[in-house]
Amino acid sequence: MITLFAVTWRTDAQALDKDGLAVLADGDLAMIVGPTPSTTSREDALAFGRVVERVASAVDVLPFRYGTTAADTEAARELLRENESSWAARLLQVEGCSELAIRAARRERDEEPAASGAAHLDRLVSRSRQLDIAEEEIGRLLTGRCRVVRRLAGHQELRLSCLVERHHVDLLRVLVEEWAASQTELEVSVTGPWAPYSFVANEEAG
Amino acid sequence: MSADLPRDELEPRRRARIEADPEQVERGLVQLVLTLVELLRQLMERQAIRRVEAGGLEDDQVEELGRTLMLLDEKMTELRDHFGLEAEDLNIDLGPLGRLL
Repeated sequence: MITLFAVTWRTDAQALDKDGLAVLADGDLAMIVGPTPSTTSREDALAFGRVVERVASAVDVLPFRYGTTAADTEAARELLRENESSWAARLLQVEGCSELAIRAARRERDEEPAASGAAHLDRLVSRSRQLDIAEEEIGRLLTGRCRVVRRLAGHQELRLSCLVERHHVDLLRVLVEEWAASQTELEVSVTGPWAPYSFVANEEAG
Repeated sequence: MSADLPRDELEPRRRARIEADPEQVERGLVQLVLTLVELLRQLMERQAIRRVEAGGLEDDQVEELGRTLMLLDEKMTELRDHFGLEAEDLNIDLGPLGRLL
């Protein structure tokens, strides 16, 4: 059993610092793989993430989710062959980009229970609208600075995954954090840059 | 460029063992069941919000819908507290599909 970390261009893979990893190449693509730990733990998941981020900081990648494995190197190569054209197309889409994650949610407060069913529902609707407005305002900041923005599934929270060209990452973070500072009702976080996990699949997430 | 991993690195050093502690199994089962209930509760909330935003509900319907959701919310909080679970425990990472909630 081997763990699959990421797919990258064959030419880029040549320059990578392997450090315990192996590169399986086929056609224009290469897959970064490594041994699968015998146990599953939080530390393993974090170690997996560190490897992906290390590779992603050096070259464009399509990262695999933690826990993605193949039976052996031949099975991994087969997977690479089967998906070569679609993965190559997606690698082009994420070229030069990282992922920034933006989350906005209502600040936790102790609230009195609503006085009636109608008031409770009114409160839910109001929170939902607040997040829609936040999405619009953040959207204006992202326009022209993000290649793709996806709203991920989330209940009573706004979760955006942004595919950002690396030279825009710092600016975008500052803009969103400045906007967040003006929000009294919402708690906003910006994390990243990450490998483009949310942009591996073509379909809209969430 | 191509390189195979050494065979000994590809094999797990030992097989992972299944931990079958009855208390852990029970907690895991409760967590799973409550996660599904929470998923349904959230879907009901979203549907209710959409119906209110679309308009057309009578006042008594809004009151009944809101009261039902309020009660569900209270019951879920009670159940979570009873089993020592936090809101974020009621979520499942579905890997490539993202998180359930």
